[in-house]
Amino acid sequence: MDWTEKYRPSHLADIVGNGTAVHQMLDWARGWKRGTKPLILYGKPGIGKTSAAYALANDMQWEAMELNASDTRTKAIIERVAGAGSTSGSLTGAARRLVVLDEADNLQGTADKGGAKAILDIIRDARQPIILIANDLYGLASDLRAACDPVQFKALPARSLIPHLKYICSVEKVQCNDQALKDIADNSAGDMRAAVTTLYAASIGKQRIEEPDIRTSMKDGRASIFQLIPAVFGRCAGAELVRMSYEVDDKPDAIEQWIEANLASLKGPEATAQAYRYLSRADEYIGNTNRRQYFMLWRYATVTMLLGTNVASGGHGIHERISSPRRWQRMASSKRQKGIRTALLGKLGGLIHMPQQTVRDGYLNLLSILAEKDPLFFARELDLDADQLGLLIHDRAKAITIAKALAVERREEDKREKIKAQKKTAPEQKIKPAPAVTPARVKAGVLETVLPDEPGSPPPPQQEKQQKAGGRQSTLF
Amino acid sequence: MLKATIDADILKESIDAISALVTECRLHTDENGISTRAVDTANVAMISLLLKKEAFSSFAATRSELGIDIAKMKNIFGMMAKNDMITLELTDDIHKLQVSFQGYKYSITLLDENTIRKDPNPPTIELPGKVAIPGAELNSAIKAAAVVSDKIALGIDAAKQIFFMAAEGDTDHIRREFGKDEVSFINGVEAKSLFSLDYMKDMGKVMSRAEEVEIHLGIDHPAKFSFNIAGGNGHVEYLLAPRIEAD
Repeated sequence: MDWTEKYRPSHLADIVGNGTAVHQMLDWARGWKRGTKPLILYGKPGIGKTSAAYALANDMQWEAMELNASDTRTKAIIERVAGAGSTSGSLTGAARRLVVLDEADNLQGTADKGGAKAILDIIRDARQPIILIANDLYGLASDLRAACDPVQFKALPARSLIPHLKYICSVEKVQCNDQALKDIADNSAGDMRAAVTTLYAASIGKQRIEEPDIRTSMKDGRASIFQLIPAVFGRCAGAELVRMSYEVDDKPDAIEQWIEANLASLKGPEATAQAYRYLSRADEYIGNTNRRQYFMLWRYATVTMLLGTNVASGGHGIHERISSPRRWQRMASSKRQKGIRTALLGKLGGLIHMPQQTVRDGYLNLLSILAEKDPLFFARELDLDADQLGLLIHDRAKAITIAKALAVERREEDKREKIKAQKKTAPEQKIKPAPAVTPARVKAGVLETVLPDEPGSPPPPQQEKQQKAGGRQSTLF
Repeated sequence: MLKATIDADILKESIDAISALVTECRLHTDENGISTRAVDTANVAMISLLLKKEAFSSFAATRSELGIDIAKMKNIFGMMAKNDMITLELTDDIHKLQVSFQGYKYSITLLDENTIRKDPNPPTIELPGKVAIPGAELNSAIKAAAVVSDKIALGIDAAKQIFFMAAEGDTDHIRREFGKDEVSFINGVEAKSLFSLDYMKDMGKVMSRAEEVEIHLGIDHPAKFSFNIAGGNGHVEYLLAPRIEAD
């Protein structure tokens, strides 16, 4: 049988640590009457919340019923089970029934959205004591939190785990040396369940537990980049560095960025140069990995950059704060700029029928000079906005004014179109709006400068001419 | 070890009686028959069921414990016809129950008994009021009450020697009284408790098949419903915790 179940404390007095919380629970239970707020026990996993709830029921000689995450917890089931449990008397003659809603923070929004409301309803109508258990107090809906009294459970200090582990060892007749027990306690980060499970796993098939047995049965811990980077710059064995790099969630290209961001902490230009040499070599491997999709190459990248930088640092360690790579940040901020450039090149390329790259390499300067001479024309014909025009004529302020002027012009044009459309529907109306003429004439003037060999063509009616100008524009260039 | 043959109808009746409250249970077998005792998830109702070996057409068993998934069983037995003969077979070393009927051979994987809630202790409460009523009558009164409310009161009026079932809805009220001519009073002392109709409905369906249901009542105490199944060769006891009345 699983030791965590076997050695689950059955009395509040046996709960390790969390004395304040236990007292709070006991006071609550002794003073409980109908209408008393339910308790929320919250804290990290494995530190005795559920055990405390059952121990309380046991000590008070109450019945206990549990609804946990392994039950399907839809609104209907919560209502039926917890509802029945909290409104019914005891079956066996116990004074009260404690309703334990375990993992209450996981219940919301998972199986059924109505879960939180169902619990609130149950709390309101409850005639039996209720305890909610959650890892994260703020994972609960605020009105649910307000309806209950919170009791915090804290992670257990490593030294307080050891006596309990020792006790289990003595009952199970397993010999375990003190260092191994200390290792277990240290590594479980205050999680009693993890500690007991580690001990259990290490003990299977053995009568004696030594330190090496612990390693294999340990709950998987994962190194983070904040452990890896100091290790790279400090004194750390190569194999250990590589192992940590496998544990971190970041890929080698990300690790490379992190190392690079912290190269400033190296002592002297020689060391920096050396580190950069290894980093660039590693970068080549990363590049090859991406190109060939042959991920075995990653290991060369990892080893080169970790060990290379480690050697270059001479084990001096990082004394400043670990800085995060700025590259991504820079790339994010330049994204907008790149977008503007691509859009502009696309429009210019369309104008002169050339690929964007050719425009950029051979014609952009030329077009730029032309545009500086007549920015309004370029803006209008290419439909450039202020940013794009600014990039083209290297004058942001001017570009903004021109873009504004263009916008005004467009609005008036729209207005005119609208009026024309109205005129079409009501042709008897003879009043010709005055402003309609002026922009159209400007347009015609522009047309003449663009098409100098067509000046003598008979002036068609204004509307037609405008349409023609637009149509011809695209074919001529 | 278990090797038994049983009429489909009897097995179905037993499974139905259990499934009214729980979805899984531990079945105990010994040389005298099979039995189970289980409490529902909310700890509100308990069933004790005993099926004597006389209920089987052939029965041979040693003491053992089976973890039964009742919901699954119910689905499987849904396709059995009346008067089919079912053979149940379990060998000691494997966790599979062989069920065969009509040429079908099921091999049903049993649940690990350790994962099922521990058997509840037999309750030790005194329920003085005792009446016996035909199952069908009880069930129709429950059904009638379910129309107006979600809870039902069962009680005995000692002075008038009347057994009553009453339901109080928000707007409606229903009351059914049974006199001496309809129920037999085994012990007509004053009693009244309130029960959840959610449970009563499920139990009522099962009890409707019983010729006579013995009801044990107290004042704001659980109720015990006990009746025979399998033509007297089996016995079921339901225990239901009372609702606590709102003040």
